[in-house]
Amino acid sequence: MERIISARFDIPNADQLDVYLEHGGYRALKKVLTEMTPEQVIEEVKKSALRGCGGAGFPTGMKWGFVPKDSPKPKYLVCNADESEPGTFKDRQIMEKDPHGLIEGILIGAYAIGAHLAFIYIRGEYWYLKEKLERVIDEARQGGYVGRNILGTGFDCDIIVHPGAGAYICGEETALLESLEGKRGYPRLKPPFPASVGLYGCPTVINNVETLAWVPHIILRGGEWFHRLGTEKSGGHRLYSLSGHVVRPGVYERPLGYPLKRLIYEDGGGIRDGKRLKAVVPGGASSPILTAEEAESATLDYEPLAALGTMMGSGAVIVMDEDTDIVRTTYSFIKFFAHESCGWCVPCREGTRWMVKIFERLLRGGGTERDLEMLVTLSDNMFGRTHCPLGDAAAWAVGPAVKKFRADFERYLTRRGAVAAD
Amino acid sequence: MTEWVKITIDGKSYSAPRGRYLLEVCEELGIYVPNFCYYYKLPPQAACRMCLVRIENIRKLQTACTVRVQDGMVVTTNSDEIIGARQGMVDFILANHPLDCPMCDKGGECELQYMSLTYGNLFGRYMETKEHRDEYQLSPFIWLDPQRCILCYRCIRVCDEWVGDHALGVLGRGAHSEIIGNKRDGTLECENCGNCVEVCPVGALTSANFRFRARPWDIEDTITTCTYCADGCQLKLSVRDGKVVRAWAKDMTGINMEFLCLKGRYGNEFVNSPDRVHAPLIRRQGRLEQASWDEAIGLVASRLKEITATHGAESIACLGSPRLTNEVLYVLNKFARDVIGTPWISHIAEHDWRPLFNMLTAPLATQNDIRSGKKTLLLIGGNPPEYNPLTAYSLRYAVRENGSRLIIVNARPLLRLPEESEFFHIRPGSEPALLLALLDESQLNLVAEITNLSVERLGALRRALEESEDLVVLIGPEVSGAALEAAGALGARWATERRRVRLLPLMRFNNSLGALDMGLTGDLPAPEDIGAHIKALYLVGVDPIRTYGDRWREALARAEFVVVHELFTTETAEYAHVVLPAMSFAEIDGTFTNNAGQVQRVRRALESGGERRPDWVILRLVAKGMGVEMDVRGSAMAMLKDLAERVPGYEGITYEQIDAEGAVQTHRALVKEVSWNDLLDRLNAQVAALDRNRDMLTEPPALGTGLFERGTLIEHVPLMAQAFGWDGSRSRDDR
Ligand SMILES: Cc1cc2nc3c(=O)[nH]c(=O)nc-3n(C[C@H](O)[C@H](O)[C@H](O)COP(=O)(O)O)c2cc1C
Ligand code: SF4
Ligand code: SF4
Ligand code: SF4
Ligand code: SF4
Ligand code: FES
Repeated sequence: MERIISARFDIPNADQLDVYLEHGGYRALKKVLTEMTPEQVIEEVKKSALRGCGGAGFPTGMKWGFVPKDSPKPKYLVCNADESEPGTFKDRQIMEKDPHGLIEGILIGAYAIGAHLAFIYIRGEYWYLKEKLERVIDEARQGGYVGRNILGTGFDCDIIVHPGAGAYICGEETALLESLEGKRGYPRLKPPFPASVGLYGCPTVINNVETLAWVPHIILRGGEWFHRLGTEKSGGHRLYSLSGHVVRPGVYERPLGYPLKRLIYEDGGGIRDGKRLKAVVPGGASSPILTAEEAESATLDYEPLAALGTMMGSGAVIVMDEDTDIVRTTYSFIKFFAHESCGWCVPCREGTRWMVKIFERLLRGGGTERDLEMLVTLSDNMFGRTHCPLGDAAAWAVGPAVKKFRADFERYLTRRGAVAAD
Repeated sequence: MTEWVKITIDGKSYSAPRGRYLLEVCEELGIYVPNFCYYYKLPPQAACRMCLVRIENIRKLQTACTVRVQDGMVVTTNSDEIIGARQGMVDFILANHPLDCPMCDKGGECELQYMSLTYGNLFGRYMETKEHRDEYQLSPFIWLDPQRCILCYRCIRVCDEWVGDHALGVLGRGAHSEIIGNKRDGTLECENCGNCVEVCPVGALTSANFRFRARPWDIEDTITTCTYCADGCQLKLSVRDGKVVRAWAKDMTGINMEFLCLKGRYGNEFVNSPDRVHAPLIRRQGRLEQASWDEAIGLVASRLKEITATHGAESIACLGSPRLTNEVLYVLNKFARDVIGTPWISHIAEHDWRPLFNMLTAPLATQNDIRSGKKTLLLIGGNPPEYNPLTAYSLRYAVRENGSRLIIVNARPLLRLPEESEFFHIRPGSEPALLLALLDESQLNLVAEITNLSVERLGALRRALEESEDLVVLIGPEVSGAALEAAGALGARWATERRRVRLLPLMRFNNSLGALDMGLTGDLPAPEDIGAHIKALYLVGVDPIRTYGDRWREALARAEFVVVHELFTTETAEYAHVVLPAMSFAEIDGTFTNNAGQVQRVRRALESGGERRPDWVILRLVAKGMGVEMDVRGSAMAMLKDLAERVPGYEGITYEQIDAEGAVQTHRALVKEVSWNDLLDRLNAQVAALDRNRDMLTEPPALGTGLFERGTLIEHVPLMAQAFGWDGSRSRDDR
């Protein structure tokens, strides 16, 4: 299978401008700026059926098309490099190994929506990547690819790298905008959507690192080509972050519609130490857990995963072997969500704390049947009722786990239901 | 233009204005949708998730407080699913909430208590340890109990939007989120208006003066008018056991909606002060000693008669306070002019506003005028956030809700007004020149030089007025003399068929305008006059030493006879021969006229202790002692009737009408013909005399310049004295 977005990952020094240029770099940008109108760029991306790789899977071309052309306000492109979804580490690979590819994608996106300033909002822990990206942008500026009058075409676009301060919620696009504006990272009310009222009240597109990094390839080889690589509704390949109890964890570029089983057994080399598979979280901590049986038949694509009650998310596949205690993994997820809940809305703020406390009691040995029901009830009371998807994710991390792996939970129940209420 | 759409709620069809929030539409239709974080005229928050409803063809339940109604919308507000969701939310909110309502100050008037009654489960399902957090003081006026907080963010939004102080925020994340103040240690440095406390649905924010002093069912509320600034907020005084325990505005009946400032909210407990004068005092051997009413009245009457006999009635000057009710001021004016027969009847004022009213060519602007409809608001001088807080609130409201244009002309940048306002920074004292520019376009060069604004900027200012269709000009006390007349004439200059113009003088005292209307318009005697041709002073609620400084100290010492009606033994009272104990605004009925010319009720909220009497009763008794039976009827209500027959503009105003309408507008005759040449001559003369070299001021006036100012009444409020370090006896130490 041809590697596309990861093709330059193994080329030494591909993060340097000259090496990047040698391997086809900035050709797409040149094509766009000299041969294409913004509308044509958007059209090409629409044709590609590229869907956002940040988690929500929204069609990218359509998102770009929402930006009002007649707005007198400046427009902005924001690259979401917050990469905080547990299990996800693909954007890091791009920024580390093929950063110019990302810069090129950003510039093309900016051209398509009419932005002259772009931001990369990068998670604070990637401070070394921030420094790297700044060097890369400088290099590109010197080469005439960033800044004023890019490639002599009259198109101006600058890129600013801004670090986050360690909050998962700031990966959510509107909280990200708040944070970028220097405010506390709370998700905004929608509507209005960022495409009309975004950064500083101006039309803004927010895209994931990987999403943008795909764009130059689509421009060079055509939307239809890209679409054909994937499935009917979702074009192309994706970078899957494979982790957990597999022999070869790592980032794998595979198409949409790829069988989960192949990813685990062929690419990942199967379960470590010859153990049996117990469960898989297919799309980062925000996606509901699958049992081994479900994982058998799962394909990595939006609709099939939705049919199994879970989702593609950020393409982070977390594999768990037979020795895994689902109570503890679920506890670790819910603790994460409780820690990262921004606190804006009642069900997520209070629900996550409540569930954490129930888990802690379970783990101490003070749990009862009633607690398991309570976990399911709390998850039901949260799901679909929160202000942003983080609350849904938290509910999803717990409810399905309790239902599907009840035996694991029952091991923690005290025999006669004595409640260790303190 | 409102567009009406058809919507279906719970199977019934209704029409509703397109784009309104569904929750508000339901509320108006009488369909109850529970809510916590929704609040009238605040941006929606969508935090409490209590208002979830089902809208046809939308997968998830939706928050009614954020959804705007659209044609054909089909809504369910009541189903098992929705009730379940609400119960779930109450469960969440109560999880870590201390369930000790009997120990909570909010008990009995708590929105969470009500909600639990409807949607709470009989048994708590939360079996875990609660995370206790101690309550603490955010400021001298405000306490926070973080564990009771349900994070509805009303307080933050109110501070941002209503008050413009941006003093509250959130610290921490998730379940560790906590409301905190703006200071480094998390406490507050702010106006201390207490509006955040007022809107808090639960017992999280409480007021230092009220907390744990009463329960809602053992207080009696009386709606009355604030006794501080001229904006004239309506407030409820809660009284328990004969003491004022709080002031609030929750029912939003007044011109102030739900807003109150620091003074209106926390400044009323002087009424309870043990330092109040409770019986008549007569000076004997240099010391004020308690006396009987008969003795005191007898002494006052006989001394006034003697002085009239020896020096003539014009040797007696009467001075009233602009805090007195119209009824009292009306009787005082009659007393001075008819009983004593002196032309020296005036009131203490921070500013002489008479020129404006002598040249008034436009109606006065009410708070509602400022707040309704899109308009241009021109603020010349003044500092509303400090001296007219309700006006500041209305200005913010106008910009926020209607997108009105706010233009500020001031010698200093002002804080706590909307960022969107346009600022014209002028040289201190150059306000008259600015008015000249508004009246006479030919003098922009001169005005530019004096004000330090460019001719282009002045042109832009004039253009802004030209573009306006609805103009309100707010005039601060920096505008005086001919410039004030010029301000009065702005109506004649700028009003057209297409442009409405209204004026608002930023007066200082709650009844400044009433004092003018009631005829206390004579000149104020100069301190040198006292002892010279003015021999006696009849002072009702005024403390000229306090207001005008030490020159009055010697003046009062020179007077042959000084009588004061007072609540406290002020510095002036120390020079008085007789002090008569008066009743406060909370103990009498009456009316005040605010700076917009609206007459509002003052209602008796409690019994006055001691031997105090209302001022008008005292005046009548003194008159009687002098052998004159005043034609003053027995009650405040009857007095208003008299007054309404005689005072121009007050015709026909009755208590019934005020009770029904809240605020009743007086009819002010407008000047029809302005003699422009004369006016411009006077204005040019004033402008010519201005100092053109004064340095520009770049610093905004500090927070509290006006709000935290010490005054005769407010210094007797224990919480204020404590908060601002007033040591109760300053007036004495200073002597
Ligand atoms: C709680 C939360 C965290 C998120 N974190 C990230 C993130 O770290 N990186 C990212 O690209 N998208 C993240 N998203 C998704 C973004 O909101 C948004 O959908 C995405 O950046 C859009 O880009 P795309 O269309 O290219 O995927 C997050 C969403 C939520 C609700
Ligand atoms: S769901 Fe959680 S993270 Fe999202 S707004 Fe609510 S509290 Fe914040
Ligand atoms: S008292 Fe007033 S100024 Fe202070 S925080 Fe509360 S609302 Fe804001
Ligand atoms: S303190 Fe009161 S008003 Fe403020 S967020 Fe908490 S509950 Fe709401
Ligand atoms: S704004 Fe004026 S009238 Fe209103 S409460 Fe404050 S002082 Fe009283
Ligand atoms: S009232 Fe709608 S979410 Fe609180």
